[in-house]
Amino acid sequence: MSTPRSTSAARGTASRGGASRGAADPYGRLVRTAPGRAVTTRLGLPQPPRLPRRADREAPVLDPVVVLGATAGADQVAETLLGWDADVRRRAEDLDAIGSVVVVLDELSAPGDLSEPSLALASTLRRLRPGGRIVTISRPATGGDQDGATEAARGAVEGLVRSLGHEVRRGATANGILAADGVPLDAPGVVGALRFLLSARSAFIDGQLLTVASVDGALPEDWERPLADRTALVTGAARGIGAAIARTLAADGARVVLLDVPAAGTDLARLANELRAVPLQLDVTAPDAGERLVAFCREQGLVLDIVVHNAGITRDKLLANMTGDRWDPVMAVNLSSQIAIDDALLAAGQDVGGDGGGDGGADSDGGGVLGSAPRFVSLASTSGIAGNRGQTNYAASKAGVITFMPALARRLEGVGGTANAVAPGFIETEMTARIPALRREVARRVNSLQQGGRPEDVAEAVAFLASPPAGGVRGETLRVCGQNLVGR
Amino acid sequence: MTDTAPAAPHRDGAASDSPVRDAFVLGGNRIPFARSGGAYAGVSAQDLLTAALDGLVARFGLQDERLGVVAGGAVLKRAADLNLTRESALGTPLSPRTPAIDLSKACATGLETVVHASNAIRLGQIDSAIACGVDSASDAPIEVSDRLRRILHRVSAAKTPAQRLRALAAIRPADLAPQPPRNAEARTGLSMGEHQALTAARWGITRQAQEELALASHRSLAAAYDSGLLDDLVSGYRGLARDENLRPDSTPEKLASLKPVFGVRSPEVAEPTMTAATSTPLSDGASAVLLGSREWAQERGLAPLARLVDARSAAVDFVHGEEGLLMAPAYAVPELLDANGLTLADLDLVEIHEAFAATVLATLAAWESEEFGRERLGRDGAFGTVDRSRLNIAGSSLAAGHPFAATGGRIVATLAKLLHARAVETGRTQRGLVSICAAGGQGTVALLESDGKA
Amino acid sequence: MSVRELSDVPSFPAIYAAALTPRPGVRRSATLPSEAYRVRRVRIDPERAAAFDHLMGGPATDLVHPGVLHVLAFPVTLALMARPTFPAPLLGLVHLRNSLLQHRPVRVGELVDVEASVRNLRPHRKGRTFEAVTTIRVDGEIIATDVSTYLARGGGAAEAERAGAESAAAGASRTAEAPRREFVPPVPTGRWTLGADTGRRYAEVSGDANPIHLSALSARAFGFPRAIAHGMHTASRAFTEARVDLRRPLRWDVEFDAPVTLPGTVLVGFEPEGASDGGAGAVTRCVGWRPGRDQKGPRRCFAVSVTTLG
Repeated sequence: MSTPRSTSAARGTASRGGASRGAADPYGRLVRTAPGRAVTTRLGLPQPPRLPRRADREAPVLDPVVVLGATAGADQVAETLLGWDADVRRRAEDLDAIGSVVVVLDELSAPGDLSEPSLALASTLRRLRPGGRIVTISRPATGGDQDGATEAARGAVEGLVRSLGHEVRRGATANGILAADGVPLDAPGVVGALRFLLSARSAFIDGQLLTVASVDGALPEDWERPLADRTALVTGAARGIGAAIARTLAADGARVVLLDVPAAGTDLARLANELRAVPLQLDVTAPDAGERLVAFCREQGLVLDIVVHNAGITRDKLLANMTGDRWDPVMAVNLSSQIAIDDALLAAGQDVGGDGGGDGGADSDGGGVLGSAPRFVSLASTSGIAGNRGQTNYAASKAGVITFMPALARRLEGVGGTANAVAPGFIETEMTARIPALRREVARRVNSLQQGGRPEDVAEAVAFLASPPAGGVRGETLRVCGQNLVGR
Repeated sequence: MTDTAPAAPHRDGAASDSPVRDAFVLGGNRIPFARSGGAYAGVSAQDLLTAALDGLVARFGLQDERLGVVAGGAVLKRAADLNLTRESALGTPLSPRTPAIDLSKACATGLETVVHASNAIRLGQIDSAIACGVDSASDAPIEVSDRLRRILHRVSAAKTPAQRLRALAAIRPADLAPQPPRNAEARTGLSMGEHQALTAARWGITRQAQEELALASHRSLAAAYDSGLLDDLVSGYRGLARDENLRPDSTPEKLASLKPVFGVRSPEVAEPTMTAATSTPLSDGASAVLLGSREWAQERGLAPLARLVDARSAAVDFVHGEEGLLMAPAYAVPELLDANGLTLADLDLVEIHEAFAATVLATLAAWESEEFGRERLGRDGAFGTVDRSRLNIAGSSLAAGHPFAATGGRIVATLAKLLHARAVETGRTQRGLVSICAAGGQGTVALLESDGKA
Repeated sequence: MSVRELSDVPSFPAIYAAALTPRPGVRRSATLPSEAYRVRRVRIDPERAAAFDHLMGGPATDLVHPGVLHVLAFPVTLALMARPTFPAPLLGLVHLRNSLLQHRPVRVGELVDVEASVRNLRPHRKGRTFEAVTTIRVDGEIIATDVSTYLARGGGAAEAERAGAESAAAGASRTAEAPRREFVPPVPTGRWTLGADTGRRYAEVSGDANPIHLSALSARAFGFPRAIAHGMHTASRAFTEARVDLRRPLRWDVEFDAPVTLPGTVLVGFEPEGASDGGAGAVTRCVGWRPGRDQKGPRRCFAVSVTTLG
C-alpha cells in the first residue's frame, strides 16, 4: 500500500522525533494520558489531539482515500492517487473507516452544484480516521471574469472548507486547492499541493486554500527527495524554525547554505556540521549584506535554487510606548533586508552554466548566483494577517512580507521563479516559550487543532513551496497555524 | 585555481627535490572571548575548544576529514585534561582518526601550535592541520597543597591500615586549603603586572601613552567587528556575539580616572602607571587556525590566506634583573627579520600581543633605542621603528581579552585575513609579523606573507 | 686546641632542651671555650639534600648546596655553644654574618668529618660578637669552611665597651652594624612571599627547630612578637636563585640586618656582576628588604653575595 521508501531516508526522518516530542506543551501531554483525558473531558477542557507528522506516517496518503466528484478532473485526481499506490475509492458507502477524502469541485457553475458533493462529504465525516485529510479541489473566484453564479459557487467552497476545518476532530484537517482556470488537475502544482495536503507533512495546516495559478513546475523524480541537486539558502538558520527548515530541506535532498548573524555562529556551525551544510555568518541588515552574500556564493561556487528568508526578530511594545530601537530593527530584519538581498541576488543574475555544470558561476568577474527557476519563500506571520496587540512593528513587517510576495513573484515570472510566504501561527519555539504562561496556554488552544505547531510544521510548508511541483504557486501566503481563530 | 600559474618565487612544494614546501594559513575561527567569570562561567575549557573547532570544521567543510594533526594547548590545565586537544577534537565531526597533540608555552602556546603544525607541513610530514588553543580562567584548576599531596601519596603507598592511619594523621588543617593557580612568576614571586611595571618604569613608558594604545585597541577591534572583518573569524557562543571585554565607547577621561593596579605593591616604582584598562583581564576563550599545504588547499577549493614564512623564539633572564619579563620578543624579532633579510620597514602589518599596553610600548622603545640596539642586540644602532599605523590595526588583547593559549590563533587568523585582503587590493605581496611574549621570560614570533593569489 | 670527638651529630631538641634547663651554680665563663667538637664520617643524606634544594626552589642536584653543609655542621657548633659555661646563653644569640668557603664540590652521599670551634669574642655596641667556625673535611682535606658571626646581646661588658665597639664597627664599615643609615633599595627583581609555616618548613629540612622560628606563640615565649625566618633560609634561597656553578670553588657571604618576620614578604633584587658567563670572579649579589610602609622606610633584611673562585 505504502510507497516503498529507502531505509536511510526513513531513519533520517525518524530521528527527528515526529510526534514523540512536544515536551513544550505539558497540557497536551496530560490529555494524552488516560487519567488526564478522563479529568479534562469531565471539565470540558480542550482535548488536543496527537498530530501525526512525517515520521509517524510516511505514506503520502492515509488510506483508504475517497475521491468525490464525477468530472474528468476527478478521474485525473483518482489516477494521480493510484499512481501513489493509494487505496482509492470513488464511493464511501461500504467503508468502515476512511483515511482521506478528496472532493473534486472543478466544474461548479452554480451554488446548487455544491449540494450533492457536500452531503456526500458529510456522510464520510463520522468514519474519518484520526489524522484524516479532507482536500477540496476547485476553481478560484476570478473577481468577475465568470458569470455571477459560477463566481458565487466557487467562493462558497471557501466557506465550506474553512468551516469544515473547525469541525473535523482528532487531528484531521480540511484544506482546499484552488486550481486556476486552464490549469488541469494533473498539473504539477495541483498534484504537488494535493500530495502535500494529504500527507502528514501538512499536519498543522487546517482550513486553508492554496491557489495554483499556472501549469509551471515539474514533478520530482523522487518524491522522497524532491530537492535533490538543489541548493537552498536559509537565513536565521541557527535556531528554532530556521534550523527546522534547514533540516527539512536537507532531508528532502537539498544542499543547504545556513546564514545567521555571527553572534549565533557556534550554533550555526554545529547545525552545519550536522547537515553537512555551508555556514555563512552575516548580518542580513548590514548595508552590504546582499553584495557579501553574492560574493560568498561566487567564491564558494554556490548557485542558489531556493532562498528562504526566515531571519526575523520581535521587539514587542504597545505602539504608545514604541521607540526607534524597537521599531527600526524589526522592520530592517523582517522586511527591508529581504528586499535588499533579493535585489542583490537578482542583480547578480542567474547562473549561465544552467543546470548542468555550474562552473560558470565561479567566475571572479561575477557570474549569476541564482538557479534557473529560483524559489523564494519568506516567513510571514498570522500577526501580519490579523494583527496582534503589542506587535505593531512585527505585524507591519510581516504584513509587508505578505504583500511583497506577489510583487516579487511577478518579477521572477520571467525567469520561471516563484515567491511565496508561509505564515506560522503559534509555534512551540524558544521564542514563544518566553511568552507568559497563561497567555501562552491560551495562544496554543485558540486554533482548530487546539495546540501549538512545531517548527518542522513550518519547515514542511516551506519545503513544499520550494519543491519543483510548486512552480504554479506564486505570490501566495500559506498559513501554518492549525486554523488559528484570528484572521482569515 | 590557476593550475598553470608559475611557481611562487619562494620555495614551493612543486619542487620535489626540496625538502621544504610552503605551509599556509587557510582560515580561522574563534569564539568571542569572555571575561573570567562572565559569559562562559561554568563551561569547561574542553567545551570552549570544541566550540571553536566545531566552527572551523563547519566553515571549511571538514566533517569526516582526516587531518594531519590537531595541535592545541591550554595554559591553565587540569591534570585530567592531559589530552585536552585530542578529547576536544573527538567531540567534533572531524575524523576520529585525526591525531592530536597538546603543547604548552604559556601565552605563546597558541602561536607555538601554529609553528609546530606548519613546520610539519613544510617538512612534508603532514598536509593539513588545525592549530588551536584555549584557556578558561573561570575553569582554572585548583590543586591541593604540596604537603597534602605528598601525604596522600604516602597513604596510597601504605600497606597496612595502621600505616595508612599514621600517614593520614600527618594532615594538618592548613594542608587542606586549596591552592589556586599562582599569578606570579615561580622564580621571582612577582606578578606579571609587577614585572611589566618595572619594565615600563625602566623605559619611561607614560600612563598617557599606555591609555592611548588601549583606546586605539578598543576602537580598532570595534571597527573590525562593525566592518564585518571578523564575520568569518568569530562565531558567537553562549549568547556572546563580541568579546566581553570590548569597550568601544571608552574615552580618554574614563581611562584617566582609573586607579593604577600594578606597581603599587612595588614602591620602588616611583609612579605606578598601569591600570586595569591598560592590562589584559583574565579571560575565557578558544581559537583555531586551519593550516595546509598548497596542494591540500587546492584540492578542497580553499584559498590560502597567507604563507607562514618563518618563526623564532627567544628568552631573557628576568630572574636576575638583566631584562624585563616580557621583553623576549624584542630579541626574537630582530633574529627573525635578520634571518629573512628584512627590516621593520619591510613589514606591512605588525601584531604585537598586548599583554599590557606597556609591553608593546616598551618593545617599540627598545627597538628605537640606540643603546639597546648596540648593547643588547649587538647591532650598529637602533633596530628600527614600527609605523604605528601598521600596528595592531584590528585591535588586540587589551580590547579582545587574553585567554592565554587562544591569543596566538586569534592573531594569526586575523593577520592572515588582513594580509590577504591587502594583497588582493594592492596587488603587492604583504608581510606581517606576529610577536607574542610569554611568562617565564619567553617570546615567540612569526612572519606571515600573502601574495593575494588563491 | 683540644678536640672532643662526638660519636654522632647531636640532636637539636636535646641541645635546645639542655640550653633551656637552668643550671644553678654553673657560672658562665668570660672566655670562649678552646675545645673543638668533631664528628667523623657524617653522611650527607641525599633525600635531605633534595628536600633542601626543593625548599629553596631549585632542582635536586647531586652536588650539595652549601646551605646543606651549614645545617649539617650547625648542631655540632650548637652543642658547643649550648655548654652551660659558654659565655652567652644559646637562646638569644643573633646571627649577624655568615661566610662559607667551599674548595671543591661535595656530592650527596659523601661521608665528611665536621669540626666546630668558636673564636674572636669581641665587644659590640649591643653586646659581644664571636665567630663559630666549622670545617668540613674529607680524608683530612678541608673542603669547606663555614664562619658564622653571632651577637650575644647585652652582657656586663657591653655598656662599658660600647664606644669602642662603635668605632670598631665603623672601621669595619659593615652596614649590619649601622642599621640606622637610610637604606636605598635597588630595583626589585622578585618578591618572596613567606607564609607562617616558613620556619617550620625550614626546620623540617635543616633540623634547626629553634622555637623563635617555628610559630608566633613559641617566638613570643622568647620575647619576639612574631616568628622570624631562619636567616640561612633566605640566604640559601638567594644562593639557589643565583644559579651558581656548584662544580667550582666558591665563596658565599651573607649579612643579616632586620629580621624577616613571618608571615611576611621581602622584596629582593639580584644584580649579576663581572663575568656574565659565570666564570672565575663572577659575583652575584642579592639584597632582600622589607618594603617601606606608611612613614617607615624600607629596611634591609639581608645581603648575599656569591663569588665563583675558579
